[in-house]
Amino acid sequence: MQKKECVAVVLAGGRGSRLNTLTTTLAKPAVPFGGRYRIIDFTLSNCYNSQLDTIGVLTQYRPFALQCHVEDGIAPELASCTGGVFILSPYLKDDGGEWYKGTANAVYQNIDFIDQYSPRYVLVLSGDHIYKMDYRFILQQHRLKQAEATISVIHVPWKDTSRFGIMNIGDDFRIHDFEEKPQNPRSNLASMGIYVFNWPILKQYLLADEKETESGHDFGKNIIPQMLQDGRKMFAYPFTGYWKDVGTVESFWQANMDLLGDEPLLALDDPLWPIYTVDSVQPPQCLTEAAITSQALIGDGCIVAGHVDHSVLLPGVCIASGAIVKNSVIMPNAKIGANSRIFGAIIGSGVSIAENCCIGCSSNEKITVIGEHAAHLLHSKAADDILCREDG
Amino acid sequence: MGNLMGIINTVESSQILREMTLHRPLATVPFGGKYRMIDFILSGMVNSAIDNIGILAPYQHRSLLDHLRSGRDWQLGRKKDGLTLLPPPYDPKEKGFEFDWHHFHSNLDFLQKSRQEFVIVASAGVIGNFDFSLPFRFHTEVKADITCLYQKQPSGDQDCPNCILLDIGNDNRVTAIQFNPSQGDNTNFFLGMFMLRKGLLIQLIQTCFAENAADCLFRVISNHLQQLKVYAYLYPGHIARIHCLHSYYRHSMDLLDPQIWRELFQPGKIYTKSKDEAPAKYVGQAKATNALVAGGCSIKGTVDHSILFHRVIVDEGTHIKNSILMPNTAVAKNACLEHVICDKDVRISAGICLKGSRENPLFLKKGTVI
Repeated sequence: MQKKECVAVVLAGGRGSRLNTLTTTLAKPAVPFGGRYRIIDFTLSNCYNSQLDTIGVLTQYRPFALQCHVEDGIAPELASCTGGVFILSPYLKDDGGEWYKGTANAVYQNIDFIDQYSPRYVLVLSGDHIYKMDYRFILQQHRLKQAEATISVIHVPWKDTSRFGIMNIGDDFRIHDFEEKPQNPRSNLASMGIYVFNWPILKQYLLADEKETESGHDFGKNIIPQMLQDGRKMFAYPFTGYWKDVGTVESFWQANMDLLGDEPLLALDDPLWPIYTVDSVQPPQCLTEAAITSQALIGDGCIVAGHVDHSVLLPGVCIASGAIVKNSVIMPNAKIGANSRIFGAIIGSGVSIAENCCIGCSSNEKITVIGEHAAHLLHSKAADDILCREDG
Repeated sequence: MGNLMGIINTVESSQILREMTLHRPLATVPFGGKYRMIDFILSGMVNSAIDNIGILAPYQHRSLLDHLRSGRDWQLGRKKDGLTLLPPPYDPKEKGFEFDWHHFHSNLDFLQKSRQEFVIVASAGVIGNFDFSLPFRFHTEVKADITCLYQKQPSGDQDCPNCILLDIGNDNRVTAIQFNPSQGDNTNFFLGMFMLRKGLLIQLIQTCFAENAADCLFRVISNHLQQLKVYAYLYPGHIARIHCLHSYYRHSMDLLDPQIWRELFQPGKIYTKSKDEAPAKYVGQAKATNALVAGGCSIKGTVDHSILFHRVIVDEGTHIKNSILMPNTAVAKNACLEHVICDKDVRISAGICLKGSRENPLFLKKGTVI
């Protein structure tokens, strides 16, 4: 196999249980997002736009939708004899094989895949972040600093530091220590879960970590602290662009809202940084006589007869006349009945909301989620039934 | 339908949409917000499980190659069968080069080599959501030599000029074929699609070539109506025949009726060259009613009764009404367009006001800057 300077591995096996009912039938990276995409499109497009052509996607939880999406989306762009995108699920080995026990174990189980390319560097990425990033810059810094590991970091609001792995760094970006979800943080530089490792060194740590029975086999909890403890040359790469971990209902909803407006926090239509995805094979959206749209992102195949304001509609959504959709995300093929009102909600794929329903409250800051399983329930409800739920 | 192959004839129809078909065949004229004309017949064939499709290319076929590529977007990028572009005859000075049978003749190899027994020949000038399984069943059940697809149109319909009408007997047999008829009560309007045995098609092509008399392949069929069992099949569903700029405009605007939108797009999927456009974006005071909007559009102004293709930009204070804006049209602030068709890459400067009429929409050719 041709030697590669860098191989990317994308961690996409997690369920993302904090996304609630949105991930009952598919893995978090496969959740539809932003009018026509799925979450993983951003990471994979970043790879392609950064001219990385060898990518392993580690899957485990409900991989089917994810797999189809990767194969039809980015795969044709990357098709070549020497590289490509590969779905790496757990597999049987001589000793029986097992599920991925943690992020580090997932990479450990695919050492053979990476070794085929004898890469100098391995770029470890997450499949569930929304951002645009040129990985060539982090690789360049890694090279220049002759680092053994480089971790991409971003300033997060101080109040959120307890959700992240926090780095304490020196003036030269050298990482002094790392605290996982600290109560009293000394910095607000959070790890973005994007790592560059020198492959021979990472491999050594993965082999050693595998022997530790107490280890969680996780990059953030085990591998990184161990490398720091051993005094390895580890640097932070500060990232200043837009980045969002869409692991919770609130952050998923917020990331969708961040796409709206004249100069959105994240622009999807940058010709220099296209986001590759799978075409939904739907006709152009149809706005009828009564349709009113302002501040919206609307996917193909939608029929809008109602009022859409500050919302994101994924492909194939139908908004009946008189309906009002505000501050909401409507997943593919969902139907909103006539005169229903949807405020601050996420309506799951294929859900049918009956006529005259009210979902979410305009005053409520919490996001209402109507999952896919609710489809039948809502369909059979009486027409004037009022639904106003707290965080679902 | 493993036993039926398709030939799409894009040769017969050029120059008919004025400047729109100067640099491209009718087959690649943008239609319906994100498609090219050929997508409809091609998708219809794919949806009818026809997987060996040849496309008779006109002399100007760069845009056709660019659009179809390997045929992958129609699931036709295969090892066996799939999509084959059939190039035009080598020497355009040769006698009869302008006739479609000449194009058929120079690609006889393709027909002979194909393993299917039956062929459906169609043109790209008719829009619809096609399914050929029932017509094909009819064709084999009545043991027809040739089955022509037609639709009934009200007498004196605007789509009648330059069309072909069929006279049909009680048993669905075609008794006469009228080319470019003057007004009459016959309303059986030929869709430019017919199916027949491959061997017969080859025979007809060779007859044309030997006699060098007919102006199109279908003329030979009409000349041999007595010897052949030619049947007509009434095709249901929404059909639009595009034969002049006015019909292009009228049938485009019909798509703004959600009922027609559903009829044309929903029974079978219409495939096209896939693009990774961002979803359409509505910003600030944007207002869109009665509109068909494709991906990559950015709308800040008012859009009413209009069709916007990919990446159309409508700036603040701008009013777009009864217009068709093809890919990459950019309309700057406070402009006003009414009954205008913009071909690709048109730029309209701030404050410009352009108006055509329903009968005579104003057409701006590709790349115009005003």
